Amino acid sequence: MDSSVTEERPLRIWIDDHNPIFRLGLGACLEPPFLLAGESARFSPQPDLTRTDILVFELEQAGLPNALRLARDTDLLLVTIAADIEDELLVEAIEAGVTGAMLRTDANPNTFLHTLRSAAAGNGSLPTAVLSRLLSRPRVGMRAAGDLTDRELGVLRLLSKGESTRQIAEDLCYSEKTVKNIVHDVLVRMNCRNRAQAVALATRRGLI
Amino acid sequence: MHRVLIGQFGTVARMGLRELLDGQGIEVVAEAQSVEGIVSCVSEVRPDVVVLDLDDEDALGTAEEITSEFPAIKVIACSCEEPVMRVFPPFHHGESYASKLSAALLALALSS
Repeated sequence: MDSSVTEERPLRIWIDDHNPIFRLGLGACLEPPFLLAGESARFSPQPDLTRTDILVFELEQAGLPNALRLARDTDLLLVTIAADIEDELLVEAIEAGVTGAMLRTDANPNTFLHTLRSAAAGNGSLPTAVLSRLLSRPRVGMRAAGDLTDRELGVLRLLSKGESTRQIAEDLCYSEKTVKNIVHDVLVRMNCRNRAQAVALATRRGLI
Repeated sequence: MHRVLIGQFGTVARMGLRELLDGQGIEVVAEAQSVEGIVSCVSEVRPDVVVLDLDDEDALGTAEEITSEFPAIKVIACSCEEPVMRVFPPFHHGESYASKLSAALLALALSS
């Protein structure tokens, strides 16, 4: 046996989807480090958060408020599956702290695992079409701009382009540690759960 | 044991169906690669049951075509969006009833 392979901590995925075929299919897509923790249809049975790291849920049909209610005051990561890319709920979801989103029609093992990996890494993941829609939204309010420094705004701008910590460090000639610290400060200052939410909020407020 | 042919489905739905059928010990004898090719695939493979994607707009037409041409074959059209399926019983051409879709109900429809 090759013991040199680094052991990743298993990440337990709870899948909520009201269609049994699609739900089973999503479960079948999982591969290590992701494990199926349990499944439910429209939050019945209620997801068991004591053994769940990431909750995958349907955006529509009250999925979003249910998921947000469950995630409140927990470290639960949220990944949503949207039936409709035009759905305003998608923007609402990202602003509320949902880490990843995938369109139902785009679902395949690759996109699903990519979305889960990004969520687990704290990077967030959005379908490109959703990201561009977020970025092209009318900008409202400049008031909060003073809350962030130029340096923080610079990092946020690069984050919104999908750059990784390392790329940002190279672009701005900072160390990766510095970039991580800046991102951390931004998340705290903006009261965001993750990078995707910070980018969404900053975009909406016209900060970047 | 019934031999099942699966019509064209999205990747995730196909994996879900496979999972469900494997769990019930039901044999999948073929998967149609295209919507157009399904009827010829059915006549070649002669399965006992055909599972179609109800969300495909041609599903009902295809189901009728299959059941009228091969009256002994049962067609079950499952939605991968809403939890609904329609079962086309053999000997009742073009007639179907919608029912709730759950793993247990689908397995029951497949094996009865």
